[in-house]
Amino acid sequence: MIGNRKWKKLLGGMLAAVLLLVSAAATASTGDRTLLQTNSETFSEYVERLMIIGTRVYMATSGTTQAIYVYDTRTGQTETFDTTAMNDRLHGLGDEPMLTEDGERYTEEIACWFAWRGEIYAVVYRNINFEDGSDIDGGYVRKLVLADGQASLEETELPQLEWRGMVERNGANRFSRWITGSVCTGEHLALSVYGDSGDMELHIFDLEEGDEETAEIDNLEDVGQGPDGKLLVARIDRRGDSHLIIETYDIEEETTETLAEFEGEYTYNIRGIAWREENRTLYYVTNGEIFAAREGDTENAESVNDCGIVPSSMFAQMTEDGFLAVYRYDGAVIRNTDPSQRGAVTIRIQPFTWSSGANAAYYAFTNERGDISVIREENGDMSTLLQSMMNQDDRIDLYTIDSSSSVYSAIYNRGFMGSLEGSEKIRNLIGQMYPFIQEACQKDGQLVAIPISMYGDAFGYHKEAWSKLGYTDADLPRTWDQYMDLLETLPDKLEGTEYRLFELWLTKQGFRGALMSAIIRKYALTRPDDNFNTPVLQRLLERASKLDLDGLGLIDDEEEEDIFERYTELGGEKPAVLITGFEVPITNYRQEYQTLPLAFEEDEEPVLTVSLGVAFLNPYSKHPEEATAYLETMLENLDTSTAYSFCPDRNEPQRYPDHEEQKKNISRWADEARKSLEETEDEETREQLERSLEAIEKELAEFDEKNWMISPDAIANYRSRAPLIRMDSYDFWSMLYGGENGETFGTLWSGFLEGQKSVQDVLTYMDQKIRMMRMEGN
Amino acid sequence: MYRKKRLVLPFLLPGLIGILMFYVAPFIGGIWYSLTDGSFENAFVGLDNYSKVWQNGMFQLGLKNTMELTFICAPSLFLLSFLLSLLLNRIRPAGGFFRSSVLLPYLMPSSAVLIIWLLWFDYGGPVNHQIFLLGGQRVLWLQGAELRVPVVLLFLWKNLGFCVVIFLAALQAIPVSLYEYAALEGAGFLRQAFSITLPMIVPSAFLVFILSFVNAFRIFKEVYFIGGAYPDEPLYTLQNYMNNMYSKLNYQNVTTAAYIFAGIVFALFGLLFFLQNRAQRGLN
Repeated sequence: MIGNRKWKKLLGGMLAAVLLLVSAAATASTGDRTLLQTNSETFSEYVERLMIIGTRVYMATSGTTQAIYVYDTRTGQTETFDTTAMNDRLHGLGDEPMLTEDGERYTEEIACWFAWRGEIYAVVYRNINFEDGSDIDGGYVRKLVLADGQASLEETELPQLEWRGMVERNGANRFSRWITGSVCTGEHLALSVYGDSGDMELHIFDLEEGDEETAEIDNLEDVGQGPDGKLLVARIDRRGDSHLIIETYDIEEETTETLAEFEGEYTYNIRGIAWREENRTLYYVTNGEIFAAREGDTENAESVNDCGIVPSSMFAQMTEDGFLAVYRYDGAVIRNTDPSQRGAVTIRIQPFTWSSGANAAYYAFTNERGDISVIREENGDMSTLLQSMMNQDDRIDLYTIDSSSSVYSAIYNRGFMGSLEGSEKIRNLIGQMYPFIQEACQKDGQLVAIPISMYGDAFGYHKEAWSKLGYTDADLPRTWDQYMDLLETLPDKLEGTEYRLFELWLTKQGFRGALMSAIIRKYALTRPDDNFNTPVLQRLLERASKLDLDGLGLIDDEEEEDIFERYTELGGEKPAVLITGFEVPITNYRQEYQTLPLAFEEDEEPVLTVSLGVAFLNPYSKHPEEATAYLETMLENLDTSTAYSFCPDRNEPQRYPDHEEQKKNISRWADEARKSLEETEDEETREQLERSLEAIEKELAEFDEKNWMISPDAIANYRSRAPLIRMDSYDFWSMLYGGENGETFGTLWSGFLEGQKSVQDVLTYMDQKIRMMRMEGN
Repeated sequence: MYRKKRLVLPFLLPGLIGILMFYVAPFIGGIWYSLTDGSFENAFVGLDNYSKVWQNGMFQLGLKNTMELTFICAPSLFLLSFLLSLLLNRIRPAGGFFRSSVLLPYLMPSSAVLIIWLLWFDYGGPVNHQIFLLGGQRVLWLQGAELRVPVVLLFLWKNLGFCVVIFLAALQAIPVSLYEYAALEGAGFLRQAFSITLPMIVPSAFLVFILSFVNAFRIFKEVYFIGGAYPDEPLYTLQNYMNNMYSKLNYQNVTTAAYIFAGIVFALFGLLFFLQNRAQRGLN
């Protein structure tokens, strides 16, 4: 058993690991390195762009923490340069307000970074705000200067770039388009940009003249430096069978030449293309591995290293000495492309469920264990998992999967899971968890899985609103019938109050679907052996179908589109007393709400249901020790809210790691507002500034109380409900929607929600199908 | 003689290897599957699977429905094809055209036929329209036990042609002189049918009878197209059970159900062969 102190240490270590730049060298001599990995819980720092000069990798980050990191692959050292002052100046928070020649106030933003002729540059645009709109004036090229731990931008003699093609108009406002990639070749800067149609365009700028041209390249996906001073462009055609083409683009001649082609189901996962001129090899990342194709010969491509970054929005660049720098907004890694330097052992993981903890574990493990190469295979079909086990397939060492899926159920029932009893660490950590979680991880008393995430939703209510409306906890509905009673009486009670009944965006159809499916789903779980066509279910569904949806203040489906325009008219600012989709596990949002467990009968205990994301060891794995070590790292890297949801003794509230930083920023905004107020004489502007200052000061005053990653309230809410939580052991809706009968049920269910089919129709159908499925067994 | 056998062996070997690989080995492998639990340990469980499958409610339902449908479809198919072949055998003008036409449904893909069938038996379709015109109540043909009617009719319509062709071949092989002689002796149609036609076509009739049963046992495509993996209970067949078990990769239950069913079929066919032998001896 691990004590509280050890857990605290573990948590502290985890938070530090996910947010801080990792500077410790990996144990192996491969030079592989995690530059940054941020966590989906906090997102306090994320990668903007990576630029490369020789062996130096420049990484620009944004967020509460913002910096330029310079990592040298030769020395393995990282230097950090703060960009706060630089960004403040760009945002007009300097001593002097930034004014155009016409006296209009503007702020500046960095559109993109690029490396050119041994220097790093930024392209800056001005955001000019008028009374009735805004304009963009862009294309200013500034040079990055790094000195004394500070980053700054200095003017250059380079001409202003022709920026018109990078601006999007929406009414009286203009916006700068989103630039996804930037690369230089010769005197040209090529930018991949999302155009008006949503397709990516390639804009090429002459850095010496400032001229711009748009290349005629359809279905652009990615751009990089190519062979012989040309560009490397990736195009994908998703019509029919996916088809990815990698071409070279000659800017001068405006011609393309095919370098490599890929066809097949998973071509959309081929990302991070880069070219290394020294060995004339094309590098790309797919399915968790980096491949090298000499002269673009992909048929004979060789896997050279692992790369666990999620493929979507991934980019890569090559250093002079053959390291591939791969990044996306939430992480950046350096990978050696010499296959002889790879870890001696390779373990493969097939993730069939997402977990930020499992994601963090990849970075933590590969950083610590350079002797083990970890490949996270993104391309996989869960339906073939059982067959793989029956074939004693040892290719994949670890799987992650949702515990409520029918595939997991079959795997679990047949015992295709390696024992984890040999790991003391896993036994201890799981021993700290709630009994229902421990039970879900065991088979015949043996540990066979680790929990990595928890899902589950329920109806919820606003605690403060509930008491302000004169209710006590004793008045909370305990059964579905009482909930329905409440829906009949509560609307009248809300007249003239500061609350609304449900969320603004909830449509009539959406509410009916959520209510009906919640009733049926909970019924199926709590009474697995019962028929559906019972008086209880009939009565509840009849009641639910007869609710006065207008009276509940729900909008029509077609009103959903202009909901934001009618926000005030519909009373959107009012908090909802009841909500339909509230998370059962501990979360860091909507902490003013509490779950509402409901039973079917007065004398029955109400329940909440959850399912787990679990990871397990392939019993045929050839590397069970290494794979088990990876599972240990997964457990140690669980995200905070998940760890709190699993362990009853984790009760210390947690601040965001950048809480103080955020607070400092708000104080700074308040200071700036005060300063502006002192300097401004115009009455109208003063009024505006006073209002802004008041809002900032209010936010600052409430900041400590409200800004929690895990608040005391969230912990208390969850702990009070934990005894009512049950595992959702089978995916009820998948049984109905899956297979050949899915379409029939889908039509029936839609008809039911639209009032064309009766309660009897649905229940009779379900009885027949579900009963048959249950009787058949698996 | 011995030398000749040795010479024959190399010629038989490729065929024998094929039979061993594709019939004998899977058959034995299947038996092994049916005796293990399919878990990671793949433990030998003896006849446990047979006991469990036999007691499974859905297996029992599938077996019951399959048997019921078989005993409706097979005799009906046999009788109808025999009568139709007698009729077609007597048609003289354009007889060839009719005899060929009867085989057409057998050649048509089931999915295409099914669409027409579903339209006919729809609640507002032509079948109900005729019933209504005759003063009857419309029937929900495509739900519940009533769904068996279109399924059985579809099966008969589709398989009739093939059985008729076998009967016709047998009928046309009977020498006409036998009938002429019988007629001269004063034998009527019935006397000719039972004393000449029937004894002469017993082997073919038995073949048709067996084929009718085999096809009826395999009645699934029609059910699957209409009702999917989980049709209404009166239509859930043993093939549904085995198909669903296969999609769940429960090879133990698939093979167990298959061997139980095979045992029943062998017993039934054994009985049929016995009866055929008895009948043949009696007629001779």
